[in-house]
Amino acid sequence: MRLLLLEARKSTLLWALVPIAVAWAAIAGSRIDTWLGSWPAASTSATTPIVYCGPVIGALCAYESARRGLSGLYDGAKLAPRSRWRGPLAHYLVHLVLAMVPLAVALVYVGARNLSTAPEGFFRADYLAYTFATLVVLATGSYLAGTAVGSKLVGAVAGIAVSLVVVIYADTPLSGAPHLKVSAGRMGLIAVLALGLVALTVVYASSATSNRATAPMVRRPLGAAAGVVAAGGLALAHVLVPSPIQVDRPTPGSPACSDTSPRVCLWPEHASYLSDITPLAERAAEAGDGVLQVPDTFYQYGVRDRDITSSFQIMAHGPGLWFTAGGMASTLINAEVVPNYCPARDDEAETRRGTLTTELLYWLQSRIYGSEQPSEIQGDEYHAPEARELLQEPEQAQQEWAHATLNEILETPCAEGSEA
Amino acid sequence: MAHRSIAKLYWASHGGNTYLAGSVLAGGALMFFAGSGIHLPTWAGTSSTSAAVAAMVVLALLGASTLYSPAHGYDQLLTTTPLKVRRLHPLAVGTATLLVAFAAGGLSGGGLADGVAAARTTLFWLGWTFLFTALRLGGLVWIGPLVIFLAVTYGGYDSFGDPLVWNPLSRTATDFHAWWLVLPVGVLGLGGATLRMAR
Repeated sequence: MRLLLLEARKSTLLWALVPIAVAWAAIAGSRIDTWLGSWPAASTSATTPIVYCGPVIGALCAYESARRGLSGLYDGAKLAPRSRWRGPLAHYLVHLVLAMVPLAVALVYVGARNLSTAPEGFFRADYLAYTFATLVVLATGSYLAGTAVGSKLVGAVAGIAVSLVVVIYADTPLSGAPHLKVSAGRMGLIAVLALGLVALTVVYASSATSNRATAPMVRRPLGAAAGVVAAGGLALAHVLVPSPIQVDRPTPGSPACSDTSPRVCLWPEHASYLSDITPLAERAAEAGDGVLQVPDTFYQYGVRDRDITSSFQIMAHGPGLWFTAGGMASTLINAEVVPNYCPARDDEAETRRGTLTTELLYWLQSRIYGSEQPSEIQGDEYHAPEARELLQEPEQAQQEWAHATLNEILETPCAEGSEA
Repeated sequence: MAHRSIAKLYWASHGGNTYLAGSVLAGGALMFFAGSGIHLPTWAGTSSTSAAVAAMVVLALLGASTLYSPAHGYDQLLTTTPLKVRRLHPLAVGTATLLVAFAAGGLSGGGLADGVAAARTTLFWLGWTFLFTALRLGGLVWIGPLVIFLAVTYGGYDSFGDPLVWNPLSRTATDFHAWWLVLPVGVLGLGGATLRMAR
């Protein structure tokens, strides 16, 4: 323990941990509206800053290993002259542990914020394990790369290069949608790679000597070989297992449903959104009354099936509900249009149908959301001048317009021989 | 000491072989990753930046690494010939680095414009790395350019993934706005590093 503390105190990584951990937590917290109240989203938000902080951590691990390797002196030699391998091993282990600290800090911060708002549960183990394994590969690969070079600066550059390659291949999941999980294949791959690299480094460190004259001669080929093995392993894995990083989860056995009419059914992990989304469903029923068929139940994507045309997704609380309203509006319009769809007779008819659909969608989305597109949502996603004007009109006029617009969409002339 | 021996010593003490090997690897990575994207959380949501840009940062850092020598004091004791070499060193290594980026970018993109765009992005990173070199940060010179790279990728794009006004990345070769952003950084970096090496 004394040896570990001694090595930690002398590490540049230790002194850089505060800014790295602050940056990690700040990036995780910058989009708090997307994860507050959802453990899956909190899990990915707390782990994705590895893309930014990983290369800095990797560079520092490599810098430190190059620095200590060049000096050829480890404190283990002073504390335990008969077991000189303890110095290099302690040096590696200390950096492995320090590399995990920013992730731990971000998890504590995100977890503390989420505990009071999210439904029962905790961080998703698959995202945490995947990021943990990625950090192990990143830190260990960089550390080994640092041992293979004869300069601190080149060591740091090699660490950056290794980290960037790891970050690119790991492709840490950005989406915390509850219907997704980390693919077992990718998880297994990164875990095997992490274990292999750790084993290699422990063997290397154990065989190392603190003798200044012979240390670099022993370490550099080993470090270089390890780097080649790691890069080759990653490349081979990428070619052999080109699977997506996230795959679908099975539909939930007992979704979180409201007892309102129409009902809203969400993934249990998103139960905290029920109070936000129930009013949207009620407004959807009100706006669609007499114009569109309103379903008995609105389903979040993946709760009933994988049909995106009849379900909605959740992006975020607050202004982010604009997108959820859009998904609900699409559900209502799709229920009318999809069964009666046919390719249009000509381009003019197709364009007209598209324009009308956009107008109807914007009107319905605004009605469901409760107001027009919020200013926080950047960009003018819709060109719907007619609908924007109509939203200021009395209810009766809006209903008549919506009815007439829907009828015109449904009456789009079909191409010859392709009637619905 | 014969000029040839001095040149050999200078080459070895400034990591010439490491630079050559590293540049080949980074150039290869630039070509290999040309079509790949790094998926990122950004201030405006999520985005994707070309993985080749990361290879350009490494390429520029490798160039800057040659400006350091463990035998720097010994360099200064040498005759006037190495002094001239030292003055030309940043320009020479900068040109070589840009050529590698141009060739790799052009070969991977399949056109002159892609090569020019890759060389321009590399010049941006080269400028920053050389500027930080001029600040005499020693083995920690990589921190500045890396932090700038991460800041530009985190905050340099709007919600639709288009580069913001101060971000020269992801722009076409003929985008003059990007040239106005890159050239001052490149000139300042090369100038600063030349002054530092000549002292």
